[in-house]
Amino acid sequence: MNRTTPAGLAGRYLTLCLMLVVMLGPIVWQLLTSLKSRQESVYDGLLPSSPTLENYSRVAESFPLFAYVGNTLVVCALAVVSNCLFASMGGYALSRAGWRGRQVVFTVLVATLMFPFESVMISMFLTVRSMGLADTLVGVWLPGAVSVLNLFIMRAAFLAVPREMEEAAVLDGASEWQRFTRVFLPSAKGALAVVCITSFMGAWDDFLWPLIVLTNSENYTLQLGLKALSGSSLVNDPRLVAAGAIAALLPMMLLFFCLQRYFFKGVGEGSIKT
Amino acid sequence: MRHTRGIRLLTSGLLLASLLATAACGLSASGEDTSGEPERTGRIAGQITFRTLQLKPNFTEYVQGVIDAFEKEHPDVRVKWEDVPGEGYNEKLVADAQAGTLPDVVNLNTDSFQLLADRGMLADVAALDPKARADFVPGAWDQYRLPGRSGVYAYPWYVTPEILTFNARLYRAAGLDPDKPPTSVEQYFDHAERIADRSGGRYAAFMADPQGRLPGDWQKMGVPILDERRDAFVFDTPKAVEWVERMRDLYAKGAMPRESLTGSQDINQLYGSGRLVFGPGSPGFIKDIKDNAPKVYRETAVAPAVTGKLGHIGIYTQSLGIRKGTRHVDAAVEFAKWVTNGPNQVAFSKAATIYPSNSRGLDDPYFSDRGDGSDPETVARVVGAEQLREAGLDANTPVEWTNQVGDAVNREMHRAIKGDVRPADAVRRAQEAANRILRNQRDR
Repeated sequence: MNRTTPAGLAGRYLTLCLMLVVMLGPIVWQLLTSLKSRQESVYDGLLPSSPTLENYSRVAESFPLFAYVGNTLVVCALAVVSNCLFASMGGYALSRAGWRGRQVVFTVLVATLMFPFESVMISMFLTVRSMGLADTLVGVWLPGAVSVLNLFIMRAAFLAVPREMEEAAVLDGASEWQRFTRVFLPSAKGALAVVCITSFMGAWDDFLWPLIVLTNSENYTLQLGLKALSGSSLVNDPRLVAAGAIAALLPMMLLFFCLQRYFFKGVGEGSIKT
Repeated sequence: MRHTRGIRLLTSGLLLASLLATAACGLSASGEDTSGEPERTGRIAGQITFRTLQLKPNFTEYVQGVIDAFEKEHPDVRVKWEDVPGEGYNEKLVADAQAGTLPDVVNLNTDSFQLLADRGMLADVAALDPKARADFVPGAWDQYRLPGRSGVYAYPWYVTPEILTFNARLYRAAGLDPDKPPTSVEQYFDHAERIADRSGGRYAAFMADPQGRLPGDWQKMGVPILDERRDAFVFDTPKAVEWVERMRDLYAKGAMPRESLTGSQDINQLYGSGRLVFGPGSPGFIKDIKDNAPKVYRETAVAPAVTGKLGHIGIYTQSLGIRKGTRHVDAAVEFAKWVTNGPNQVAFSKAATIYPSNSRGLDDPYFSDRGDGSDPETVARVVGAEQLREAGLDANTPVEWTNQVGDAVNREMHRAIKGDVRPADAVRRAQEAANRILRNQRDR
């Protein structure tokens, strides 16, 4: 290890603090805006002069926040379960089992990443509609049930499992399924957490696709509800929008804090195992 | 209003182009039947769907009230209301048009009207309802004609007219008289120059992004946009070059916020914190300021929009289109007529900062009562209504000036305003680009 001078250390912390300000700044600004009362100017100053939680209750009143969060959570739960399940099974198949053409399949799958969503959106909508899933949450979830990127992550994680470990398991008489569940999955826990978080985030943040699929506002997801609050040319209340955005952020943050241990492990996975 | 429209157009333009390209090839299995106009049967019945553009949750009560009253009047009709956020509205319309699931009565703004009408998705309301024309402000009805076709393809709905809003305190500080606001583009620039000289960099006059200002400013300066046969752009004139020169000089002088050239700054934020003299020109904006920046609201003054040589403003209404393939023509027509009638439009104007396109609605005393003349919101309402009565289509952006043309012109203007290109070259190149686009569109 090289030694750090006090000046170097100070520099590091300064850079870190700067990053913190840059990253957190917009969120803090939103938070402060959401606390401003209706009597004061939204545009002057940063700190609310008479902080109030009124905007949050107004958000809850003016649109069914909890119903929207509920709808979003349904889609998120489906997406997380299906992605973890299919991405790990698919990733396993693509990484280990010695079958012909898996390289071709993998290449084709990765190639589909090249298509921008917008270009396949309409055909996807027509497909989902013909399945009778228009205006349903299942229709929102289905096209994202397993993403290629997640397959990719799981495949990479499985490839990193040493061949010796698998051979040892074979010698011990473990079947393919047992090797998958007892050897491979536990050693790819981190990657699984990444898949879990990214699929949750993807489903949570998605806007355009749910908008296309859903028509009845009772089925709206949170992002659709939030967009209805902001961006109106007839009404513009930054306080309300900020309160809605902060409220929408909380579940994401909770999930991240719960899983961050795995998350950071997952990012570094596949490097060196000790 | 025009400002936000500009930004939205810019971002959605490319996306839509690619959407339509992919939509055009294949997958027409369940496409809309666009042959033949629907005919009335005389029986007002059935279930119709009604889609609005971002009216929930703020106007839920009003819209539901209008629907309920209609259903009471016509017990055989059920109206299913769906409200869609403004962002992604056009994308959803395109997807629905492809799938054949367009609503029977659909709320359209200027660009979504173009989108559906150009593809023949909308019914000719003039044929279905010949007497309707008399009910609307002149110009509003004609806005929904299509070049080269007879017929009118939507009912005009609510309007937000253009007005002039400015911070009277800053105006005075710059040595200008708030009772004598500019009436021509040239004066507007003169005043902006004065403001730049006196402000000491503490505040600016107006936003630099030319997107929302063109071709309006040129029209107001008497620059012809198209030739008489409307098949070529002819705006490359000394007047247009003069406009660019003045914009460039004012930008260099600091009459406009530096970053506002790319439109990345929030005009409400700048005006609301007293760093901008001219606010966006819509009555709705006055309400924003009232709610969000009470101090600046008290300093805000309102005047008729700068109209220059035209003498009147343009008219951009929201509209209600009727899907060509609707199964319940009578119910759809009656409902669209109901929503856009005088009383319902006036009631809407009282709930939101908008104006009726229905001339009987505009006669309501609500639109002529100035109060004691000190409340900006009240004055804005009267000023807006007065201008609306005289609004004319010749002040509108011509339909030939599509998003693509606007973007092409804007690119050249940006360079010239920054001082990278000579104004005369920029205008010439803008006209060439615009004509190229127009030719391509005509050839298709």
